[in-house]
Amino acid sequence: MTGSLTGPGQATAASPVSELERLLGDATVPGNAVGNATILAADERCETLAEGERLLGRSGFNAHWVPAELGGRFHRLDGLIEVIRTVYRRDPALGLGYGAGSFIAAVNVWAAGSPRQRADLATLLLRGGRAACSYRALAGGDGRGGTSLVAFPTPGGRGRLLTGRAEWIVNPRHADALVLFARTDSAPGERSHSQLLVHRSFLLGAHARHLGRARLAGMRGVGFGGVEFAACPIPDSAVVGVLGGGTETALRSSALARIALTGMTCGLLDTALRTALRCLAGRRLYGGTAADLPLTRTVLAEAFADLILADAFTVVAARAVHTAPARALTYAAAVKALVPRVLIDALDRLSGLLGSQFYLRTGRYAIFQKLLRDALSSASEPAPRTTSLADLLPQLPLAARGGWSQPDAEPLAEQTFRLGADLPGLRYDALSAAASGDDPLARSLAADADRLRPDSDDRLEHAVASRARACLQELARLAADCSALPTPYLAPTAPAHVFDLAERWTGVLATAACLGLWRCNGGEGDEFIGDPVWPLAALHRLDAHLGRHHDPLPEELAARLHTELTRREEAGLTFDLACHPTSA
Amino acid sequence: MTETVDDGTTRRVDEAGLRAWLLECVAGYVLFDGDIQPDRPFADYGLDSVYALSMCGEIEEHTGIDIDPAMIWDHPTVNALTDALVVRLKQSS
Amino acid sequence: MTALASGRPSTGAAAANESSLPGRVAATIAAAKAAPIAAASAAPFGTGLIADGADAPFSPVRRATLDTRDAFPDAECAVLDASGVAAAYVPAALGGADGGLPLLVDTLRTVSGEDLTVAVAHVKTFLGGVSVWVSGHPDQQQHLAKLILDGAVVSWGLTERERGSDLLSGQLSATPNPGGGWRLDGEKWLINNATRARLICVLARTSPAGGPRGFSVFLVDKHSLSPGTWRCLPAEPTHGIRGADISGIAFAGAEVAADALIGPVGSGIETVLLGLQLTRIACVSLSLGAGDHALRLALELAGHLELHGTPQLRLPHVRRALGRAGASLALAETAATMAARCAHALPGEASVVSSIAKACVPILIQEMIAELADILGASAFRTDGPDHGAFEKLERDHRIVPIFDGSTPVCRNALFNQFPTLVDAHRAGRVADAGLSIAADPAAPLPDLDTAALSLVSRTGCSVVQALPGAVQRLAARAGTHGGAAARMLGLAQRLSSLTDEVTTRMAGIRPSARSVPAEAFALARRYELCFAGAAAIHRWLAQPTASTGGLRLEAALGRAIQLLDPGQAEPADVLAADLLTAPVAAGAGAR
Repeated sequence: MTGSLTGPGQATAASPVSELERLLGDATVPGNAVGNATILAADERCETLAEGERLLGRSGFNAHWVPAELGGRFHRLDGLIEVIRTVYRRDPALGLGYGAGSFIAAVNVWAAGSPRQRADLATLLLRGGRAACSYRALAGGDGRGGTSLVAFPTPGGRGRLLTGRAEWIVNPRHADALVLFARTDSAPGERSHSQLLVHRSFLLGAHARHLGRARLAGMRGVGFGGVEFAACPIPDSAVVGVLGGGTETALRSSALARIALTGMTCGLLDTALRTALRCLAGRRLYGGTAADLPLTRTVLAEAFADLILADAFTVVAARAVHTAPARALTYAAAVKALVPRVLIDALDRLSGLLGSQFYLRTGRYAIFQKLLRDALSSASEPAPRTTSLADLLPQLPLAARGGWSQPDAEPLAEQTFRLGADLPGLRYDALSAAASGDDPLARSLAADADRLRPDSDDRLEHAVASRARACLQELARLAADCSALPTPYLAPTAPAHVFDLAERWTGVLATAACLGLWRCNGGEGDEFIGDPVWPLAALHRLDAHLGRHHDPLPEELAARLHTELTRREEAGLTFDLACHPTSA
Repeated sequence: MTETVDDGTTRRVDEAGLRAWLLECVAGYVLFDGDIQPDRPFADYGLDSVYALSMCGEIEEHTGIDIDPAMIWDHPTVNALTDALVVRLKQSS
Repeated sequence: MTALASGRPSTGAAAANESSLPGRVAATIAAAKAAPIAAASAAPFGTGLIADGADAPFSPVRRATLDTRDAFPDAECAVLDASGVAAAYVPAALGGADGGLPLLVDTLRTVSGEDLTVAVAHVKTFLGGVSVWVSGHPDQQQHLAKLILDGAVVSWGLTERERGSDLLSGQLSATPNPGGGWRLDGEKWLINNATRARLICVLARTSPAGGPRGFSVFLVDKHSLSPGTWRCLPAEPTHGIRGADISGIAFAGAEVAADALIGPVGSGIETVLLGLQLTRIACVSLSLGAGDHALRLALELAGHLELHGTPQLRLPHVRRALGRAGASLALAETAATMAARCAHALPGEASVVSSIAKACVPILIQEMIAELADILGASAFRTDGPDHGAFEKLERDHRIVPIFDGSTPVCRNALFNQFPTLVDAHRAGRVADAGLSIAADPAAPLPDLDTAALSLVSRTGCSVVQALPGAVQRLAARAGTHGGAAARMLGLAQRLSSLTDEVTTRMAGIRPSARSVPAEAFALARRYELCFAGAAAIHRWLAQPTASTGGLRLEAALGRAIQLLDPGQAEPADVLAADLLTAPVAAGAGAR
């Protein structure tokens, strides 16, 4: 199995997602060793779900973040997201602690390591070993925050001495290999940091000690720890790839990590929505059920639309890593700036519907409050969301004068939008940190405006087409607003309204993602993916998240989405675009 | 406006008119196919207790007198409410 | 400390000086913080007592520990008992403190600004007593008043398992005994202080057929019950307010005397609905304190953070977010203060005003907390950070406020039911002038709360909103002679007035409905609430002396209301909010 998807709703019995779903079993059954009851109990004790880790270890889960060419199953970023999202649908802490944590560490070595380093790490992981890195290394555009490590050459010239602290490491005590970001040259500049691959054995000596656990309100099963080094000797071979390439590598891997972690978190909302549906369907109120009330249906439909919006944007960004690697960092920042808040807002409104049922830590729906805490604790992880917006600022004038204003500029390759379709291999060296004026995702809007179902007489399809045209107009306005931004306005010290410009950009990109997906998938049969209801609803929600209105979803869209939602819940299907069978 | 005639000594109240108006008023508040029966409890038509209070304002405006909102609870059919309102109207001067 | 975060309660003349109850409470808390707990005491509900001499009541470390252990804050409640907070739960005429609901709001705001769990645990006694203030006989009232002033804890048992907020579906029954008195059978569940309290006011079904006249309220004194006829239900672990006693009580043939009945048989629903008008207004004080605390914590935590080498607090976009948060708090407090004064000055409108306040204020603060968390990133949700997890505890604790005793959807639904009256009254420009001037002027003496004047529906609509056109005219006159701030307020007020007209026009377009209340109705209710809050700022501004320093806060509040109604008009409000962020706090009563 190469880990590739076969498209929405077409997961075969042997696909990695179905394998995992089968292994994880029915979450609501009391006897399930990795079911909700056990997950909640571990969360109460701030412990990792040990049985979950054992299950994943035995199933060869690690292969999913080892590149195919090194013997693993990692082939496409959207495929990886889909697999780990399956675990996030059960226990996000398990997903991060066991899966994503290793991925975000290992990807530094896949990107920049020597052939020997890559092979060795692959072997370690495929045997069930785990890797870890400083999570905080994702913070900010320089990928630097959270570590204060230095690793200068020894006086003798062979090997280096590692000194300082690395914090916010995911499960450092379980890691067989640590990927650390350290200053390796005292001179200032971009070439003075490197990534280091440090094996577990180095942590056992007198020169290293584990720091205490950092504790969050959620993700309580993740052991966020740290390590302090005091002149710990490490070999020169610990340097990942080329000396001084650390900043570049960190930036590249942070792009992949941001998209992947955000995409996986959609699984959390999937289960929260499922839980809310079940609770409301069971609650009798005023002679009917709570689920019969128009407000209930609307809020549920809005949460469904939020999930689809989040999924659409992250899946397109993940696939665009393969087809437009030069833009990966930009699209990663955009995803990270927009999506976490979409997910949390949906959870907040669902909690309002559930009322006191949401507030209990026991009972049939107790998993909801845990998922809310998990989401809040990981949304801004580790830096505030506005850090991601700040990363986009320098790009604004370039894009305004470049891709946004050039009608002939290349749009994203169509295959990017075709869910399940093959993609070119991931080219790490092409993940560029350089700002350029290209924006192929935004340019795809032109194709949407031109080609969206011209023969259709469906009123909603025409509404989708007008959305595309309106978004192109917004892009033109944005270009006008951004083209003359002075340099001081491109730093985090910029006036607040400049951040609003960056936020408008994320809105344009998310719109392009939704419309592109709708245009390039479905179209035959009555699959949901081809129904104009979902892009219209997703874009209505997008406008709400961008602060443009506080209106409820129009009744027509809410009713149709609610019908689809209940159909999927009864059939045991996920609420994301892939629409897999699930027993979460 | 309710049809009352004040001849200085007694106040005659148009009971039939009031009953008919109340039937219309209730019908306006519920989504019900068919006629509202004057002797069936409001709750049968989905006009539950708190919501029924909403009619209070209209009744006051139509009759010109202040009523205790809970009167609707104490007289929960069109017939009962009409009778109670007639009593109140005759008492008011 | 700027005007943004001065966080002191806003009353009229009494303000925050020591002779006022809020001032005394604040002083008692401050003194307690300085004095560690001397020894472990055998408090009756002391399962969670932390016998650690190093931790003082209300200290951040102890607060965090109690929360982690789901332990009741008994020492803290004892401090509040000693400070005389209970006087605010009892009407002045029965020996309670002078100052009614506004005083209760200010006092509770001081407490919730320290710890929401403590505030929720303590204020329950007000909820427990309110049915007796509304419907009890004088001797019942005097009896309960004395008990409360002596420190008794009283609970309020309305909800039952599987029945949510649908009071009419309650199954706990009260059957009359042939020889007098009643027999109680059934359970109340998810009741704050059901176990801790000595007394509990329960809503019981007295007519098998139920309906709005089928229920009655009983004040049950556990001391009078025979053993074996009742028991407490286990505490439920909750997402927030973890230390609070959220449990239940079960009766099996429990006998109570005839005088346990509060009000006539069948008056239970009416009593509860009227009581809720008071408790909903009182409880928004929980949100105000939480807002004060959240802003203080955010400023503190953000002070530790940098973005690319620049301290967060100096970044314009962070300052904008902080300004908006402060403006939201100013708006929330304006709405709450007006609502509390309306209960006294315009009691007939309390059904509308309480729904507005309980829906609007908690959501404003909830959103404000979320915006602050957005600025702070992961540090907002650390349990072991420099704030000892105070922010994340507050974030969880506060979520109960928009949920309990009139959740936001329930309150908006209640408001929706009165849309026709509100629309008509607005079009007719009906205003209860005398009552409104008292409500708007914090210096005006407040009449005692007249529970007999409370009404299930508001005949006169909502004077605060209906008086908006008149207020605009008065502002125009003042702007003509004074210019400056009056001219600015005029511009904002004109905008609000036109937004209010739009809202009421749309409200007129929705037909009433019992079951199928459309989602749009809830959105309109939200808008009407914001119009109320903005209008409150305008009336308050007009009532203040021209040389007052509180004007900036009210302007920022009004700007925020408009911003929330009309997202496209962000900038003017942001300028006001920024000014609020940087303006120094005024001496004395604070910048209100």
